[in-house]
Amino acid sequence: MALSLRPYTSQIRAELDKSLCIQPFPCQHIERHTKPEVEVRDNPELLLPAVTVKRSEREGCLIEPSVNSVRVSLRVGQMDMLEEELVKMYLRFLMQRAEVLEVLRRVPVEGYDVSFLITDQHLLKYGRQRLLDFVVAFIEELDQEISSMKLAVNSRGRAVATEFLRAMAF
Amino acid sequence: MASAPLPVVTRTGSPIQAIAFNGDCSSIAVSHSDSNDVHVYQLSAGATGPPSWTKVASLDGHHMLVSGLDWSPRGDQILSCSHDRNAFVWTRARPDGALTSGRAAAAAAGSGAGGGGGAGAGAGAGAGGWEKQMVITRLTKGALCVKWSPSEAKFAIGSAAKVVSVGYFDPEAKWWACRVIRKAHESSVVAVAWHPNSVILATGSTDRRVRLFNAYVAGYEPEAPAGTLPPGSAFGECILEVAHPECGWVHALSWSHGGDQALLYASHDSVLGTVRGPQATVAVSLPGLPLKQLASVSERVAVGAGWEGALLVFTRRSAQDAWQLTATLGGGGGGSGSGGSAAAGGTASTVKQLAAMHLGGAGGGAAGSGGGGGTAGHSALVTGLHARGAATAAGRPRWHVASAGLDGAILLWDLSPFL
Repeated sequence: MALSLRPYTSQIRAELDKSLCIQPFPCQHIERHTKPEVEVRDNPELLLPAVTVKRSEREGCLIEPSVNSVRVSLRVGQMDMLEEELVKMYLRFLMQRAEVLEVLRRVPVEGYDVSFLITDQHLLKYGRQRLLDFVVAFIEELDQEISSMKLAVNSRGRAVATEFLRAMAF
Repeated sequence: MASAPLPVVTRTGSPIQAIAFNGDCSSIAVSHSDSNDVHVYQLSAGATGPPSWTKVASLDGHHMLVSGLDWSPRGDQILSCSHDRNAFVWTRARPDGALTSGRAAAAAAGSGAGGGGGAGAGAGAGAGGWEKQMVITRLTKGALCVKWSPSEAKFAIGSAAKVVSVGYFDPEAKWWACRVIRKAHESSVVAVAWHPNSVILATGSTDRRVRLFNAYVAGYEPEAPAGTLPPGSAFGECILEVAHPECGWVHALSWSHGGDQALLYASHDSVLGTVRGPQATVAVSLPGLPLKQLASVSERVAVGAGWEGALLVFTRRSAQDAWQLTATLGGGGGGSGSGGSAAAGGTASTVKQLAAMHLGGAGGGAAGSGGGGGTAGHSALVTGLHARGAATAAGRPRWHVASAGLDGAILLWDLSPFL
């Protein structure tokens, strides 16, 4: 698992590194406001073409750069219904706590499971290297977490069934 | 290539958004990302040891991030602009309370009437002897960049309102008035640069083009030298609109020294371009991240810096030759490895890691992460570059180019191997 994950994350890291060339940039339409251009999408000239990095058919990452913000959206591979449910619950748990994580978006982009919005303020606060590490670590952790949760559910189910059937068999 | 000496590093502790040097480079005006004031520091250089900067004044007037600063070398006036659409001209007040020039004194009176508010002598004393004069910018959105013209009689302000204001001192109304170049740009103007003749203004915009304008303010300036402007052109007329194919956002502009009248520009597709005559050409295609700042050091040397934090030295043999990337000084600033612990996560849950990142980041962030590393460059975006004039470069400490970045560091580079 870890081996096949590495090229995927290193590609994401390379693309994100290029995209994180962002700067403070005030809004062109409303005075004294600064808005993430990638979310507002009022000025097509301030957006750069989005990049998709795919690990498989179902797992991929969409990076949308703009002049003062970058949006990173992840789709997590879901092999079966159990995994689908686990991913859904886990990411819901995280997204409900988005204010703690700052870069996490409360609602994912259409077609993706989880999205981050990185602005120039985050870059200033955390630094480029830490943000890159964070996104990569998030992907790696999510992968591990989901598979370990899946194992835990399976083994628990097996244990419960064994106990139950033992009780049935006197 | 000969290796350059390591730069002299000063850390200010908070990210630098803009920096300006005075004429003899003994003082700097700095705007920090986390404050809306402009801080003036003075260099106290001992005979030995590293130089230190002492804060002498704090110029308070803006209500949002101060995005641009420029210091006129002869007039000794600081020009500041901010995302709150305002710009101020700061003039050093004399000990007897009067201003350094009659023109400025008249302007102070004018700005008080024009809604400057508190621009009297008392405010000047509070700002450590600096008098604030408001500029009637006529901008409707935030100002992004400022530049005094070489004649120091006027200045240009680029804005997010897709316009450029050319400011000049109106002797009748006695304030800094502006004429606005409208309907030329399709996006924010993020860089301005004056031609050495103070008549032609170059602008770089996020609509991915470089433009040259006639910025001759008729009736206010002495007659423009013959031949500098196309016949029959008026103020605000776009003389040239140019870009290389597939140009990105233009981030920085600099007129090259020497008689070749070429304009250097840096664009987001990691290109150093030149505008010579009516054409823009790609001079150097960079291997790494794009440049944010450019400065011309001499006829044969120019420097650039950007998101990588390294100082790139471009040279050419003569004014007719093409520019070449000669050296990258202080490279690898990004690889500070500060986040290594986060990547090497074991059994800790994501939430714990995220919290750790959150808590850990609250302290230093970009400002602290690069400190003490073995690398010589900046660890974050370089937001200011200043090339020192040849006449003043002899003093101690010896340096030719200064750079300041969002990591809060001010680096003084000695480029003598390249000059």
